[in-house]
Amino acid sequence: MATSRELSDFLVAVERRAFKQTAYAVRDDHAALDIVQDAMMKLAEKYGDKPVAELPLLFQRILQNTMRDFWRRQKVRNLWTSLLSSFGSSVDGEDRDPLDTIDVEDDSDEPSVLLERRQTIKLIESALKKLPTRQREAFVLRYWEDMDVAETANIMGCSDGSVKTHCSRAVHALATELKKQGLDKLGLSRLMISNQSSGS
Amino acid sequence: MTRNKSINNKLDNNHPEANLTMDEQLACLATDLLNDHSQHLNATTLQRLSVARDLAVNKLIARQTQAVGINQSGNVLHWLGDGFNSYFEQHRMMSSLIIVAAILLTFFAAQQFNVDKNLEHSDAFLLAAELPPEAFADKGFDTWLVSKQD
Amino acid sequence: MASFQARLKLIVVFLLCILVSGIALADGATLTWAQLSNEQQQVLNPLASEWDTLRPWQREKMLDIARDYPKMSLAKQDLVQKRLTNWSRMTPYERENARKNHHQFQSLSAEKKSELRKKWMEYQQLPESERARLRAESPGTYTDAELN
Repeated sequence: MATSRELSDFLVAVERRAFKQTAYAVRDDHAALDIVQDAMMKLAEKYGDKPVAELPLLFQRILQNTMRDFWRRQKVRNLWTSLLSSFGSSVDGEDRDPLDTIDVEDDSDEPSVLLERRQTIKLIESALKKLPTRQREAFVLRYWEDMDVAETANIMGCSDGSVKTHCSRAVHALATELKKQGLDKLGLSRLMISNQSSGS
Repeated sequence: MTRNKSINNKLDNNHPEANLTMDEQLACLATDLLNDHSQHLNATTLQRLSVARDLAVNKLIARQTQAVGINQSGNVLHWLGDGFNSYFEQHRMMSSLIIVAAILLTFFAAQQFNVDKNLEHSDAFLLAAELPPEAFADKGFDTWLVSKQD
Repeated sequence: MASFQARLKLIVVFLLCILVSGIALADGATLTWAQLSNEQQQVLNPLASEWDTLRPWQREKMLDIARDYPKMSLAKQDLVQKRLTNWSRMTPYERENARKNHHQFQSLSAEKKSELRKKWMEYQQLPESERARLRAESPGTYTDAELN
């Protein structure tokens, strides 16, 4: 059974990308944080007694399910809360959202490499967000989380064949979109290298 | 995070000698960049993630300590400390009374909990709202409202 | 030996607590119409003929309404009586949907609520075919499998 130290180490390793992956899926940074927090708690509560090697898959599954719960609630909420916004009220009264500053937009003094990097990331992110949900899920699990086909199928609740189909479509769609935006292998690998050498 | 697994996992099991396709290579690079980018979140987010993580880890610690507590001594009241433990063993009558009181308390607490459920959100108040329940349930009404705002 | 006895005692106490709170909470889910109190029968009168055919969890929900009823103003009580039958005829997921929307509705201001009431009147003037079309258009919200 996983020790608390092991759980902590695992969460440290996974939390940032889990947050981004969730944010791409639900398109709402606040909700993404809530979802990741929920998932962490559920992992500790329900699967704390599992061996540490099983934590990655369990966590991803919990994350997906929590996202799905969020979607269900959203579908109902949106129809009525859109009414709230049409009548000119704001749902929360905060003037400034601290989470909005994740991508700082002021690029006046920025070195061109960093600027290019940031713009490229934005393009990749928007390409990812354009994918249909199941394709994006399969893609993220296989290519970002390095799950194998069986694990991905387990998390997504579908067959191995479906996973492969979703993945190949996702890869093709992403590659097409990235090339359309003028990004190619050379360009991307150059950015990775420059990042590593600048040590950021 | 180690990404060494990635190449092996992507190989088609039927054609282990096949390399990643060009498209896959592009997608992998893109993902590498995204992964890198995900490490640089702003301070607020990082802090909130850290808090969430601590809560989860503490939860696990609490659960594991409980389990250990039960295993270590058969008498569960041991948790409350040795003082209580000897008290309960010596004053059996008293401890029985305390237990009965706990049962009664649970009974009344359960009753109370039942009553204090958030009233305004109960079904009765739904029925007495400004709109009839069909309004709240009618998906067509939702759709129509949304279309009206455009 | 002492440890076994202590463990046993604790389990018994625990089970008793569960039993007792179960008794406290599961009021009248399996009561027949004849077994309801006069007050409950008065409130739930529109459901008299079908009460015994309702499932226990449905009766539970109706009894919750009867429990809250005395706390309401006369005008509200009147509304409950009028709308109770329709409510009982709705499916579980229609009711769940209604609860969610009502929850949202509560957070609106008074003038927005009355605005919505006017809109409801307007909507009801639409021909049934039009309303059926709108219903068909909307994304499904809750399916039975999703309710828990």
